[in-house]
This record gives sequence, structure tokens and C-alpha cells, in this order.
Amino acid sequence: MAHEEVSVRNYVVVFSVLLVLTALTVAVYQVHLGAWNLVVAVIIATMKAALVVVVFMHMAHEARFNALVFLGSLLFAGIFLAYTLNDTERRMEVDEYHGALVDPETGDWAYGVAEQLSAIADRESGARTEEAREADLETLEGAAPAAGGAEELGADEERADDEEADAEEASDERDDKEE
Amino acid sequence: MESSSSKERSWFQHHFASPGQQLSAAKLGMWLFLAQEVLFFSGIFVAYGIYRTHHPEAFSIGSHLLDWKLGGLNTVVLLFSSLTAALAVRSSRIGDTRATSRYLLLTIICACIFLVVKYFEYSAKFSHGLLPGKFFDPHDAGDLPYHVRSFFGIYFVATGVHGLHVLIGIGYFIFLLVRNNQGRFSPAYNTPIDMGALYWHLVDLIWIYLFPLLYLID
Repeated sequence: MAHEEVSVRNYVVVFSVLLVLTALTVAVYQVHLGAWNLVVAVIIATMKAALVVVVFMHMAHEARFNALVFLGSLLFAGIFLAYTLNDTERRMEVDEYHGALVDPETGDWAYGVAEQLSAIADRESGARTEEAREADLETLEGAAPAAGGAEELGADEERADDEEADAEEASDERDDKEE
Repeated sequence: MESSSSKERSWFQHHFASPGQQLSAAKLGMWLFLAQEVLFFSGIFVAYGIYRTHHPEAFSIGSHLLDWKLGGLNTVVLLFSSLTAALAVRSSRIGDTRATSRYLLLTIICACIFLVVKYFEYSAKFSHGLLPGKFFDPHDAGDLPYHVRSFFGIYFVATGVHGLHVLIGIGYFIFLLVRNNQGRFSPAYNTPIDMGALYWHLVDLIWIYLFPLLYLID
């Protein structure tokens, strides 16, 4: 607390810089940069945010622990964004290492493989008990990914075909909705 | 200045060892609250990130249906209010009560201008049927991709929740203005103004990101 007060002039200077950066964001928007548009906009916004936090919010003179608390929240927001996008953006890809098709559109071996296979097995053998389903899940976990993943895929191909038909229906419905 | 010393230190709570400790406790609490605010808004930003990467063209079209000039005006207004909030803290620290009142009032006025502009923006969108999700019913915008409604869903949630923060800020700053006029703050004690300004800067921070992300999509 014993630090010198920032002068009014310095605050006004920071405010002017913030205005210039705002004008810059708008200028960048007018020049079409395609995919870089988002990157540049976020970088400028972060520069503005940094100025506000360091000067207006006095982060420079703040207790280090308080700074850690705040920056920590930004870190976790980043983890939230990165991991969620990493998931939603890769659902159409084939994970060859684990032999799993990560593809909800075609329905086979997507995320939640276990539940799906168990549902297919249900249809094949009529109604089954809860115990039988759980036993199935256990076997599945035991046999799980490892090296044999690719072969297992082949063995399950006919089952997967059934699922594919279902998934097609589902995606048709989705298309209808979009229209 | 207060005559009796007990009145002068009435803000000091007996469970703290010293005024300094009371201040650092308040600051820690405030920064924890701000961290929570960041995490609260992060949900909206993540939703934005997912929907924009999945439907870039719908987001571009939706963004062009917004008026970036009004968004830009609000950015300037909010940045200026952040300046006045910082100056209010500064004046209260050096004991200039009148200047503090002036800056607090300016901050409140800017916040009100922000909401008035927001009101005009919202009513224009409402009248064109540009509403979130299932209420989306554009009468005169031509044929729009399906997910333009998702853009407006995120737009209304993000700016609506942000607007609510502005409204709460106005309430708190009016409270600060009244208290300041009563002479409750001094260089020794101005924590409520300090904390209120921190909150206000965070509201500004959120808008600094919302403006380009919503209004300025190429």
C-alpha cells in the first residue's frame, strides 16, 4: 500500500492506449484476414485486458498470491477450452492406436464403445438381465484396447453394420431439422 | 474529519489483528470472487468456441447482423467508465472526497449509457425476430443457415449475463456514492470503493473479449 499513487495523467495515457487498440481491432476487421482475423482479435483483446489488469486493477502492486489466484483462473479457463475443443473437434477421427473409431455419425466404435456393444448384444439375444450386461462390460474391459484392437474391429463389423443403419436414420432426422 | 476517534475507526472489525490484515483479507476475497467470475464466464466462451468452430459461416452471418458501431460505442463507454472507476479509487486514497463522488457519478452515468445502447440493440434484434434458439424467426433477413440461431443464443446469453453484471455494478456504485457523500471513506479506509472498482474492471474485461468475438467476425 505504501506505493506512490499512479498520476491521473498516467491513467489517461493508459485509457488512450486502450482506445487506440479498440480502433485497431475495428481496423483489422475491415481488412479481411480470413482465419487470422480471430487470432489477431484475441491477441489485441488480451493486450487490452493486460493493461486493465496491471494498471487499473493495480496487479503490479498486488500481493503475489492474489495475482496467482487470478492468473490461475485464466489457466483453468484455458484448460476448459482446450480440452473441450480437443474432444469435440476430433470426434470424426480414427484412433488407430486404440483401434477405436471415434465417429458418432456412422455409429460404430464411437465414444462409449462399451455401452454400444452391450446394446447391440441386447438386441441380438432379446431382453437380457442387468447382471448379464454387467458381465459383458467386464469382459469387454478385460479384452479392451491393447494390440488386438484392429482385429476386434473386423469381428464386430456385422454388428456395426446394424448400428450404421440406425445412425443413418438419426442423421437424416437431423438434416430434416436443419432444413 | 470525524471528531471522535471511535467513529473514525468504526470500519475496523475487531476480529482482525490490524487494519492492514483486514484490507488483505478483503483483497484476497475479492480476487477469489473475480476468479470465480472468470470461470463462470468461461462456460459461455467455451460454448462460443465449440459452436464457432463447427459453424463458422453461420457465425459470420450472425455477426454481420449485429451493428458493430453500437458495439464499438459501448466498448469506448465501458473503457471510459473503467478509467473513472480507477480515478475514483485514486481520489479516495488521497482523501479527495469531492473528486471521488464526481468519478463515481461519471462511472454510474457511463454504465447507464451502456445499458441504454444495449436496450436499442436488443429491441432492434427483437423486432427482426433475431432471437435465440427456438424463438428464432427472422422476417426480413432472407434465407439464413440453421445455426445462426445458435449464434444468437450465445449472443443473448453472453451479453445478457454481462448486462446483468453492469446492472449490479450500477447498484453498487450508487451505494458507494451515497456512502462517500456521508463521509464514510478516507485515505485510511476506502476498501469498498477499491473492491467495487475491481469488480467494475472485470466487467470491462469481459466486454473487451465479447466485443470482437461477437461483433467483429470476418
